[in-house]
Amino acid sequence: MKSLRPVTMLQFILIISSFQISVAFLSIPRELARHAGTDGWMVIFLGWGLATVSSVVIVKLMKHSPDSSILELIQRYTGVWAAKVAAFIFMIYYLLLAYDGYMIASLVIKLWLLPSTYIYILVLLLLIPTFQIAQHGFQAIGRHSEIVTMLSIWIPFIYISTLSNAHWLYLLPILKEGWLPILSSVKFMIYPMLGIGLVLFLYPQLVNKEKALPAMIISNTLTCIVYLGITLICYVYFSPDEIGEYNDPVISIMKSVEFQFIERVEVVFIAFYLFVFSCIWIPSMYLVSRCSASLVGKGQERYHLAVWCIVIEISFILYRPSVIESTQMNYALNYIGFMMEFALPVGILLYVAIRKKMGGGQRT
Amino acid sequence: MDEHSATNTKEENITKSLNESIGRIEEIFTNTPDLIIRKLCIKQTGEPAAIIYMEELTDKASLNQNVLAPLQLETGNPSGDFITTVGYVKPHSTWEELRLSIILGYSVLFIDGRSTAYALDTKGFPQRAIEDPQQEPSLKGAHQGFIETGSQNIAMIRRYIADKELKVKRYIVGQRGQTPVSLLYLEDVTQPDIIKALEERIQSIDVDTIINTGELAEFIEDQPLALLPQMITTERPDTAASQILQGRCVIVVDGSPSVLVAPATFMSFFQTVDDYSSRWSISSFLRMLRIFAFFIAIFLPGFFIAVISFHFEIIPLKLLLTLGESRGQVPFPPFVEAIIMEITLEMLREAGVRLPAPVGQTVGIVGGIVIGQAVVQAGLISNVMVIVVAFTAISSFIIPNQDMMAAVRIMRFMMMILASWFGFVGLVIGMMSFIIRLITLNSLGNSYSTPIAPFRAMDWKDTLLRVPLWMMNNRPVSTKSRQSIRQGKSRGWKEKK
Amino acid sequence: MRWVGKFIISVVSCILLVAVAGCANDKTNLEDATVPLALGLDVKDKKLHYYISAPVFSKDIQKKSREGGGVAEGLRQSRNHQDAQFPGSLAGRNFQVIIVGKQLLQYKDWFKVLDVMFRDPRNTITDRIIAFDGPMEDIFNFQAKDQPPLPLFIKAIVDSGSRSSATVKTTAQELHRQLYDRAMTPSISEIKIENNKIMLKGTTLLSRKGEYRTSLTYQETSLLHILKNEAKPGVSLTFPVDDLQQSLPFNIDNVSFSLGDISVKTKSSHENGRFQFNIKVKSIVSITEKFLEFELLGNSEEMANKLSKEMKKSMEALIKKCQNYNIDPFGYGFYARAYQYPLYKEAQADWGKELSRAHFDVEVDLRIGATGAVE
Repeated sequence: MKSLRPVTMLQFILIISSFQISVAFLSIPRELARHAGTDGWMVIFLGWGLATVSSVVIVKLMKHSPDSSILELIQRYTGVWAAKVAAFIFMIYYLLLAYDGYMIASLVIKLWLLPSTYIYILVLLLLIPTFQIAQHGFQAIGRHSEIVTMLSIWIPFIYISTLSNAHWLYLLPILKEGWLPILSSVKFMIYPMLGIGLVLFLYPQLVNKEKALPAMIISNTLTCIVYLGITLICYVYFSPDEIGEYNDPVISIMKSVEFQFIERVEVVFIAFYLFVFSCIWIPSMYLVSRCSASLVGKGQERYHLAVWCIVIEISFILYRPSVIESTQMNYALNYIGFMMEFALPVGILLYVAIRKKMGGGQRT
Repeated sequence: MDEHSATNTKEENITKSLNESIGRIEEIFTNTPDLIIRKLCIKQTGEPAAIIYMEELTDKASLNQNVLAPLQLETGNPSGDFITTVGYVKPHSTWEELRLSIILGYSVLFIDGRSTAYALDTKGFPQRAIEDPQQEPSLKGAHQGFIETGSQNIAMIRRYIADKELKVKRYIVGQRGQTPVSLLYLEDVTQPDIIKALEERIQSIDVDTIINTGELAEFIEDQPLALLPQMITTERPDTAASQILQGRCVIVVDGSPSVLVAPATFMSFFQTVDDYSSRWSISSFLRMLRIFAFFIAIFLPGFFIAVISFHFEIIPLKLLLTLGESRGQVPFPPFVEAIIMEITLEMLREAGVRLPAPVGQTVGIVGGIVIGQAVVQAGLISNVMVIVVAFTAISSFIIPNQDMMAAVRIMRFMMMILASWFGFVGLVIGMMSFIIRLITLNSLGNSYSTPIAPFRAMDWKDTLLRVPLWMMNNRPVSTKSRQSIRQGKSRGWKEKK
Repeated sequence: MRWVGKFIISVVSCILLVAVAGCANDKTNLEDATVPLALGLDVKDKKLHYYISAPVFSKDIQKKSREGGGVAEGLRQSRNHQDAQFPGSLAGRNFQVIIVGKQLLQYKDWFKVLDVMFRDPRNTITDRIIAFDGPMEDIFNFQAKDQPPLPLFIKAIVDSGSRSSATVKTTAQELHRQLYDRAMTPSISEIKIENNKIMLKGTTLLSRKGEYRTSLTYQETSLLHILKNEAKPGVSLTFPVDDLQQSLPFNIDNVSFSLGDISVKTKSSHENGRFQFNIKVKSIVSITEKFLEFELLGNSEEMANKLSKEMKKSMEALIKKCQNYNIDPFGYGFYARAYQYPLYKEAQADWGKELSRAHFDVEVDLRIGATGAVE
């Protein structure tokens, strides 16, 4: 067990928050508008509640093994083979998340900035910084999230400047179609809140473990404030009849911002947003390499990482995904993510609690 | 060790016979016409003796007055031994040590009948007077810079820190050079791990000699292949002293006017000594300007190429028309144009360094104004590109540290290449790679990018802003110093009211 | 051995990267591209025509812009035809204005022609949409020695006009919103050519499907802004105060004032089977021009009342005009949708018709704040 470098509170909060925001930021107003109309912003509160419940479960679970990640926990309670299966499942899950992240990032770039570049070239570009940093573990990832947060401070100000054209009446009346659309849209809030599962691996490296729960709540709250802000801004800018037409309302708003010194801010915004996108690939690829290293048992994580990067690149060369497929994958990830990050920790926690109660003890 | 010496001297002892010793000296030092052997008779004891010294490494006045005169003229020493009025006298009994002493400039006294020889300190090699440091001039600070003698440099630092905790550890590095390398630190402040690591690294160097501090830096740095420097090089004693007080170590190399400061963080390369002697508002402004200039110097040409080639829709309309017009006449694509201008500028810079001062200024004017103007009028380069390149050059000159400036010059080319291939996306990837490099570099175990990441709020007092001095009560957290309070009430008179 | 391995890997990846970067297909240098700044659309002989004006990047050529045009099936379909007329690759990324001819506005759903503006993300959507009554060639072949290039000029007059509320500023994005929103109908700027000069004419009001309905003058546009609650302080209005129409070149009973702080409160309700809108306009005005002999110092109340009455009359006339055409450029549908949602929902298929039945109650309360330097 190599020594793990400590992660501070701020880094912890920002790793989780940036993981959650990075891809879902662009799609959340569209999804909520298409399924819940102008009352979609209330769904965010429900999503927050669900994520908080799950955070409590995860922290309680990890309290049983404060110095090792979920894989070692499972190994202690159920044996080596179950741990290998768990490692395999997590590996596939994070591979899916990383693939989804690369896909969306390169599709957005292809659509808005560089239409004629091949997608696998874009993915190759994106894999270079991933490889550079993901080999160094969560401490480097935490520092990266800090810097990305600092660099992204200007984005909210630009969005707030569009409020001068806001039509607040679009939000009224509240609950115009009743509660049903809101409740049925909660499932679309799962994907934006994925990231709490990182704690299953991140917990042992946290410096103040007692503050883990408040930290998770803070990061969920931060994420939801950002979502709420962007959703409200989209809703008051676009009329309810037209918002369903736009595929990326978040970026389309940027298109209409006019400054004196720069014409089309959204070009800079999208290029810059790659920084925020990277906050989902990097932890995912790191966890993929870590799970596969513990699965195979030998080999440094760096080499596993290199192998997986090459695998992803080859998969983009062989199969070029389209925007429609990315939407389908997002839908699927809602369900998969629910199982992995919401249902699975509950299951493991129940199992561990029952084992402890029955006096089963810990197997080495 | 033995591979480097020409002759195979064993640990031999000196014989009592004077003539043998002199014969031995002549054997060792063949083809050395500046070795002087002066035979004399000591008046006090009446023994025949010989003084052996290197002609230009000796301070002749001191030798004559403090050694030769008392030895030959004075009697009256109650202990009955020879008299010299030199400060430093060290007895040696092996040829190894003697050989070293002679070469280092000591004069050696052989006395017939004794098996020890005495090394007397009459060193007086040519050295420079203390002048304004060339590379780091300052407006308000002291105008003295380090010179090439290590002991003088240490003395200059001691003048700033009159503390008994200032320790000096001395190592000899280099087989043929025998360069004294000194490590200075505050014992109760500096983290012992840092001292141990530095000591280990210095002592494991196995080379002929170290001519400059830069070579030493390359041997003991964590990642010498990286573009960014991980140790600060400075020529100013006040900078070195303030770095020691912050909890860092200073390495003085004899023969080189720059000293090394380790460990360093990225932000420490943007701090100059003037920041602390000027008022805080102007210092903060200049600090922010420097950091801004750093990023401009790396990214501006790339940004310009990306905008012109890929994303010209972001240019405001009026600028678009003038830009299009000026680019319409140029035969080269923007990337080639930028490379031509950048290479020309780098050549001008190098040429300016080689030329003596008065000619250098003329070349600067000729190169800058005439060539730039002529090139634009001939239609080879657009005038906007000249502006961009000139602005970039000015921004890179603002960076206080030479190594960092050099890193900037190279990174700029990489960004230009990426921008010309992939536009903004390439530029962002380049930026990401740069930031990741910053994050993952470690200078002696300390992270390079503190206090930005990991975020240490206390250290931000001296990063972008320079808060008033009375607020900086602790040493920077990044140096992990053992004793971190460095001032109490620095404006105590205010509270007495 | 390790560093040899790293070296080999980095060399190989550099070679790969160089090979890969050779396919930089997206690179178009500025001097190789033609950036059209103005687009004109019109219908002639039942065919859609397009016109483009692009600046010329060359110091030697006197004429600063090139024009092109032709018959189009669709904007993107005509790209090849457009490319044939201009050197360099055409890029639709910098349009400043889109001028639409009156003939085109006779057709329903003409806005679909501009679909490519929204679908291709590299196109601008902040270009101003302007209506023009007349043949499109007049504008695009308009060469005046004393004016800046055509697209810049038109954009500038529309922008400055909208700031002083002489016209509206509708960008493509805004027009998209106004058309798709069922609770309002669109309004765009209008220009004309008079005495060999291009000038602003006012505002054009369109129906729900984009068909031409009517035009508004400068003052009516200002009132439109006020009713939409988008008027900025500084809007200037002129009303006749007394019926002293003398046969003079100028009406001496006109009083002009500019509005300072304006507050417009709209309340919607539903009574007697139709919508009721209660509009209260309050403002502090400063008199800017007065021909009448009228003592303001003591009788400012009377003057304010007179002006309020006149303003109320004009506003009601404007609303009536819109109701006649079944349009709602003000956006009263928003209030109906917000506060009386179920009733609005029934009528949202044809809100304009519902609005024409609605009852409006306008109250104007002006207070004279300043009279200027002379009495």
